[in-house]
Amino acid sequence: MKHVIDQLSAYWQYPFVQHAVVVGVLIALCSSLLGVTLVLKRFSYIGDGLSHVAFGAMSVAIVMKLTNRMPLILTVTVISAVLLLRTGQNARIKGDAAIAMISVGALAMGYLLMNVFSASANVSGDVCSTLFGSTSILTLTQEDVVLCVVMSVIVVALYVFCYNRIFAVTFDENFARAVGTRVDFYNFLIAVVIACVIVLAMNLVGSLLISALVIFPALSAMRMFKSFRSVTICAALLSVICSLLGILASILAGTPVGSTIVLVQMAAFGISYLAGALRTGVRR
Amino acid sequence: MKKMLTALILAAGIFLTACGEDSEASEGQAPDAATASMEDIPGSTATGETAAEDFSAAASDTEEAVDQTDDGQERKAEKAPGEDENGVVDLTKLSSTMVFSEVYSMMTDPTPYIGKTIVMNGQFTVYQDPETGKLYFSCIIKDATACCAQGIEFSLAGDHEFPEDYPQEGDNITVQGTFDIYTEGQAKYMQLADSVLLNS
Repeated sequence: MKHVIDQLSAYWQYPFVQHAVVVGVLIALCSSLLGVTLVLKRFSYIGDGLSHVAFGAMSVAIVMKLTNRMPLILTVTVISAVLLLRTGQNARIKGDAAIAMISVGALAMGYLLMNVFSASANVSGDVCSTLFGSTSILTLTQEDVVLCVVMSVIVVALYVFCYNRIFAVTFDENFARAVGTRVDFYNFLIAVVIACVIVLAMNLVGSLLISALVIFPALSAMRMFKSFRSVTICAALLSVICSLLGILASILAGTPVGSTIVLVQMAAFGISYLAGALRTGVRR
Repeated sequence: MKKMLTALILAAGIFLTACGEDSEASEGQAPDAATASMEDIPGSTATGETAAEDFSAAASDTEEAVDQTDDGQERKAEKAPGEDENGVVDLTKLSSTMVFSEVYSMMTDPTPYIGKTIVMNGQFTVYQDPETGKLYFSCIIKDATACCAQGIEFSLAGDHEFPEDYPQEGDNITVQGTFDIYTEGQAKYMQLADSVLLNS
C-alpha cells in the first residue's frame, strides 16, 4: 500500500496527470448530472449515439483537412442532439430507434470516409484511439483544462438554476407544458449541453464507452435512493469517485483509461445493487 | 424573445467554450515531430496526419518552445517532471500508460527536458530518407492498447555502422541519452543525443 501511495505521489508531479484528474472528474460530474435525466427519459443510449455522430463528424473534418475540427464536430453533434431530444415524448420515431438510426449511420459513414480518403499512416490506430479513448485524457494541454473547467461550471450552474424545470420536463412533458413550462426550450437546452458534454467525454473514455459515464452512475444511485434529488446527488458523487479511481488505477496498472473507469463503475453498480437489496430486505 | 435570446447566448457560451480547439488529442491523434517523422518508418504504428502537416506544425511549436528560453543553462536548470536527484528522467520505471503520455508531453513541451538524461525502453526502428539516404534510428513505445505509438529519435555516441552495430529492427531496446533539439533543413527535431544502448 505504501508503494502504491509513493508511486501515486510520484505520478502526481506530472502536469498531464493533474490535467487528467481535473478534467476527468469534471466530465464525470457533468455527464452524471445529465445522465439521470436521460435515463429517466429513456434516452440512455443517447451518449453512444451522439459520440458516434461526433466520430462521423470528426472523420469528415479529417478528410477535409480542417485545421480546427471542433466547430464542425460540435455543430453536427448539437444538431443531432436537438433532432433526437427536442422532439420529446411525442416523437413519431421513438428515442431508441432514432438513436440507432443516426448512430450506426454516422459510425459507418465515418469509418468509410477514413478508410477511403484519409492520408493518415495508421487509420486503425486513429479509429481505435478515438473509439476507446486509450490515452487521450492524459494528453491534454493547460488550455484544454481551463476550457473544460469553464464549460463544466456553466453546465453545473445551468443544472442547479434550472433544476425544477428540468425535473418537470424529465417526468411529464405534457403536464409541464400545461402549467406553462417552456418544454421545447428546456429540451433544446438539454440537447445542446448533452452534445457538448459528450464531445468532451470522448477524451475520457472514447466513443464506444461514453454510455457508461451516462448510465452507470444514474442506475447505481437509483438502486439506493428513490427521490430525484437524492439520485442526482448520489449519481454525481459516484461518477466522480469512480472516474478518479479509474484514472489512478489505469496509470498505476498501465491499463486503458476508459475501460478501467467503466470497470470501476460496474463494480460500483454491483455494490449499489447489493446495498439497495439489503436495504429493501432490512425494511421488510 | 428575451428568454430565447438568453437561451441562445447560454448555448453559444457552452458551444464556444467546449475544449479541444488545438488539441489533436481530443480526436485521439498525437501530432508532433517524433510521430510525424515516425510515420514513414517501416513497421511503425504512429498515428497522426500526413508527415508534412504534422512536421511543420510540430516544428513551429518546438521552435516556439525553444525560442522562449535562450540560455541553455536556464533550460537545464528547470526540473523536468519525473526527474530524479541525479537529473535523470527514467521512463522505464513508469507504467505503459504513463510512458506514452510522458513521451507525448516531451514532444509537445520539450523545454523542461532539454539537456536532461532520458532512459527509455521500447521497440527499435530505423528509417532511411529516400532523398538523402540518411538513416534515422528511434525507440518507439506504444500505449496500453498498442494502437497508438510515440517515439524519440536517438543517435549513438561514437562511430557506429548500420546494421552491424545496431539491434535488429523490432527488437526491444533500452536507450539512455541526452534530450536535445537539432536543426535540419527548415525544421527542428528532437532526439536523444550521445546515446548508449543499455541492453543490446
